[in-house]
Amino acid sequence: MSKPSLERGINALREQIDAPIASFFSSCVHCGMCADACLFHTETGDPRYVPIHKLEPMRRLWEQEYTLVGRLKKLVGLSKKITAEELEEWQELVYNSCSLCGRCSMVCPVGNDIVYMIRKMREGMSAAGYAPEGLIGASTRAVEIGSPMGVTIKAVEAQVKHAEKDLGFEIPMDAEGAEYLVLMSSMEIMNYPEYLQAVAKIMNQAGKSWTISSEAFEATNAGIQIGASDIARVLVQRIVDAAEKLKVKTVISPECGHAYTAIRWEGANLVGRPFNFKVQHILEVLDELREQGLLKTEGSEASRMTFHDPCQLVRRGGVIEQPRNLLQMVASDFVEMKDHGTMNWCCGAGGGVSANEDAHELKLTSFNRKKKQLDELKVDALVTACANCRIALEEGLEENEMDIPVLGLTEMLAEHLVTEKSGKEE
Amino acid sequence: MADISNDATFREALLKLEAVDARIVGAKFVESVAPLADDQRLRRIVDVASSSEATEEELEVSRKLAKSIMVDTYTRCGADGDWK
Amino acid sequence: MRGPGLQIATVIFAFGIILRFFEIFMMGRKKNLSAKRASGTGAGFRTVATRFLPADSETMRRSIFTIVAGYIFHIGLFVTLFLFVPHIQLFDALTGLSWPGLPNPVVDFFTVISMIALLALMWQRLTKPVLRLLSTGHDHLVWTLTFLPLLTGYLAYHHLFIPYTWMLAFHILSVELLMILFPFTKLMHAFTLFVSRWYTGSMAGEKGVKV
Repeated sequence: MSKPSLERGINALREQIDAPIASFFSSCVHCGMCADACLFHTETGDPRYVPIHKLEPMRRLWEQEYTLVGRLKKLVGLSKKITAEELEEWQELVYNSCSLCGRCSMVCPVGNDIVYMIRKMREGMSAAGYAPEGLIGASTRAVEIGSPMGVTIKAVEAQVKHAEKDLGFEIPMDAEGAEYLVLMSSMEIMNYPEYLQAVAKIMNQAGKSWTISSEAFEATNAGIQIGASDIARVLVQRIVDAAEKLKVKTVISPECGHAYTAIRWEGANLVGRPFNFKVQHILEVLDELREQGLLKTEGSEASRMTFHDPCQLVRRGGVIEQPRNLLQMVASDFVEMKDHGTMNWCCGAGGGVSANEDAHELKLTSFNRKKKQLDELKVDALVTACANCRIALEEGLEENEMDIPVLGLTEMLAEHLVTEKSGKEE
Repeated sequence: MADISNDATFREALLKLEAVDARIVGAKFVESVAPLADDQRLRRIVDVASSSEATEEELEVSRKLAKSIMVDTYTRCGADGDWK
Repeated sequence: MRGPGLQIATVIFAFGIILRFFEIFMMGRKKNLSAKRASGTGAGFRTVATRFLPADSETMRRSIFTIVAGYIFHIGLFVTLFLFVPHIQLFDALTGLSWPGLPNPVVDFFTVISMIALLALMWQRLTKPVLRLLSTGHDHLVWTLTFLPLLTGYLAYHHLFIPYTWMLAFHILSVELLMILFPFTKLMHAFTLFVSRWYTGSMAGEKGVKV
């Protein structure tokens, strides 16, 4: 990676402008409807957070260089160049006030995929050197240490040992020929170690072969969040190499939103060739096991529960029905939030917002949207399937003095697994 | 009282305890590791939890406090946890 | 009373649109190498259709003013442009294609509500903070370009203010102006929105998401 500069940033932006971007900018009539879909706008009322405005520098570059009128205007000195100061000002708009949730893309009447544009805009911002400190740190650690949060393989091994002790059976490391390669997020390793045990129990019950790779345990991809395809490519390549080396059939993305987008949807495009293995989110795998009768649970939670859809899983990922199917197995009083599924509201912390200290206050303010959704429902517990959402929800609930436990769906299912003691097996 | 010499028997013994006793055992354990956390609030929680005379109200307050400490100590996604 | 103006405007209009589409498609896009859940083609066309309606009732509630005023304006404009009998006669003379129109008083009504909706949208643009921030001279230009043909047409039809022939001349002039500038302004959205919706719908469709 060369040193960031305005010139590099503008070049990176140029590279990002494709036919969809040109069509989107041509179509926008400044109706402002995307503002009403963005929780950073609805919860603050700040007009600068209207999604399409976050792309203004990129729009000007497109107009000036890729349209006849723009070029004529430039020729006669009627156009405003992109400046370093401008990009610096836009950092807040492109990173702090956008979680890449993509709700704006759902409501745009001319059909612009606005978040597709923001993802691309970030490529220019990071190349120009205007990405937030927090994300630069996370990306650097991801490349150098193997985890955006500085988790080393030694720490993972310690967790695995601990889990094995609890479980009473072995967790396969680097097992060649396993069906599944299980990835984790640093969040799970540090904050929710229960996840690993839950997956182990479920795989064990289902009789599936699986493994963890000591060369690629981390699924998250800070390169996607900061908008640096070169970094994102390095991180995806690690997983591809490990999956191919271990000859696994399927790579399982953990309970994390953007990790799924990174491996499932951007991965092959980043490394420049289709994968020769499947990529599934853990919920997709669990739902398949359910269908095959390999996921056996007993008992169900009587408390009133709802599901918080992680944006990257649902709206940007297509994993929509699976969490519902799975929840039906273990929750007898499951209710939906008014806006759910593809129209769900973000927790406010996705897309690198959580790693960005500058965005902390804004994140807590935008949590009010989720608070309102939850106040309407009066649930006893909130279930989700993304460690980042989970922490953001816990933090937001704590901040608002709302006493609602937040559960990970995989762990919840593992707790209801039919055990040998209950006599239904063997 | 029988000697407990392995993890499995210890777990079983724990599961057999009454809720109050289980809480007190838990509190005793936390007490032994609390100095690692360096949080004054933890002290108060341990005091309440290890007392067999703690009222429902005291326990509820402590539970909430404990949860808030837990949320505080989470490492946010992408933050440097320095887990070597 | 018809000079070469309309023909020149039509040529610029047509070539301008072709040029703009060329500008867009020339940018190309990368092939999606990820394992698709479904082909995006059909999903793209689905989104072209579904985006005529708001995503859900909550979106409708939040953006009610824009949606209602926007719809009234567009429908009114469509009726005025394509279902006014003299306009149909003009299309017939130019292209040989003809279709039944609506009675003049009905078209008149649509013209009026279309203008009222446009005025309401402009009022919103000038007062709502988000729109004040977004709006540029360009937005006001295209509003004016759209409003003038409606206004001059209405005034001409009712023989108001100045002699009919003069007003009709202004009307034709305003339409020519609209046509000439159409491809080079965001009025182009009338065509490109179909492309945008298709791209968005197909990209989401490949992931198995209906948008």
